Amino acid sequence: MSEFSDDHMLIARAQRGDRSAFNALIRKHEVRAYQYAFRLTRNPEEAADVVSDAFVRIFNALHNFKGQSAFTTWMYRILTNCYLDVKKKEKNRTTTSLESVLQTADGEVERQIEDPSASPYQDTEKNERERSVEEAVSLLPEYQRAMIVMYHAESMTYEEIAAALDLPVGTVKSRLNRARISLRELLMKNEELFLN
Amino acid sequence: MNHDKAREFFSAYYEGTLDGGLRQSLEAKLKADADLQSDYAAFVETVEELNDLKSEEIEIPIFLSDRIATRLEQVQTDRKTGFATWALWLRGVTVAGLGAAAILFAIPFVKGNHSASNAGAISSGATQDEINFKTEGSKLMLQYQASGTKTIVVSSPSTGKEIQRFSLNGQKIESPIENSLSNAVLFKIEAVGDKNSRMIAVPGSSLDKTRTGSGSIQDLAVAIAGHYRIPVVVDASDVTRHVSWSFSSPDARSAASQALKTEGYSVDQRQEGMLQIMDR
Repeated sequence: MSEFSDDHMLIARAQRGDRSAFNALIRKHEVRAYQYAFRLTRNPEEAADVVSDAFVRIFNALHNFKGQSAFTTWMYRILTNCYLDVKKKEKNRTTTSLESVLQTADGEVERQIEDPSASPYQDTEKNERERSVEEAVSLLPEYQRAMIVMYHAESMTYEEIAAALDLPVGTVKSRLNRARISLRELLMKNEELFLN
Repeated sequence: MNHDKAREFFSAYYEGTLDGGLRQSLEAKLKADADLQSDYAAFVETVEELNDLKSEEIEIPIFLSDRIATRLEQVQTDRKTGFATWALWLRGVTVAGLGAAAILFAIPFVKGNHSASNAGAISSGATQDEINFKTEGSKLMLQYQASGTKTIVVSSPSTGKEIQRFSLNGQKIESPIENSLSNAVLFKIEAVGDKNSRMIAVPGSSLDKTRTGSGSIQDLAVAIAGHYRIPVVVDASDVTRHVSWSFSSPDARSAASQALKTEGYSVDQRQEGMLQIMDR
């Protein structure tokens, strides 16, 4: 059975109220969903939140799924929207000063700010070049980042990306081209920083 | 064609999908413009580097499934559907990596408020607000009949990590408990605010051939569950006491009794397929 029909069978069962079918659907796609979310966020906690939110939205909207597209296309669309929502919330959040202190019963305690970057061990382990590409991708505007990840990491076609983002194929192609050029410029800036 | 316009066609040219006329114009521009040539070379290098993104290994965090299940359960609870079924399953706390499966509280069924069938189950007597375990063939089941609004929390006693939490409103839960990890795992299940908690060691998919060891009562329960492949309920008040064991007996009950003979615990096997360690 193809992945397409397998998913549609599970969805049809889940739409009839079969929770085990919905569980099976999640189990089947959670890894893929997480990998996509992680490539967008570069943060395990944030990626897990994006995936959780996405599956809740899928669960709530399951009755609307008509099966005209692949489940994965729908899933990528919802994941992307959840990711964009997280980023929007982040931008609205106030920033925390590194120097700020917390007042406790025992006096003042310096606020511990978690460093989300990779550990020195991870840094040395990871190919420097791959790392700078990943970093550059994370600096792209969210929508461009999603497209780059869909095409280059998730191996989606232009048509699949267009369906997932509800955009014309031509728009996807031109935006991806711009994203690649932006990325090139970011990488060159990084190289200059290393050289100076 | 100016420099910026030419860059708009880089992707299509690289992929070989640029129309004939435009391709010729771009190629002519590339020949004549060294800056554009170098831009295009850099572009190709970037696209090829991007293609390596798919080879990045991403570790799936152990908490992912828990988080999804918790969020789904919250949604279900928020809807206050009295006859809802829960879409939750739990993963354990000791695994990491791709595709690692763990504990499965598979498809718990929440039923309306009616008395539970308690025959053959390990419980402390009363039906309502008691955490019960029972076996149905090879299947291990968790039962709980809430008298009112109750929150059940499942956690790992070894890490203290909460694995799952769900709310009941006068409902009954009957949930199969499966452990798809290779090793046995201990769970603590508690009704918040009720001083009502129980622990159960659930065998994994593999036989643990280790016969000797030492540790707490909890460790003994896990060792028995792994070696004899039988769920072990721990109802002892002091589970931290240190004991040693050497499994030479052919059955789990004798092995547990042997390990605990000088301690203040008794071992019971009222129900076929499940062992209980409790205070004497």
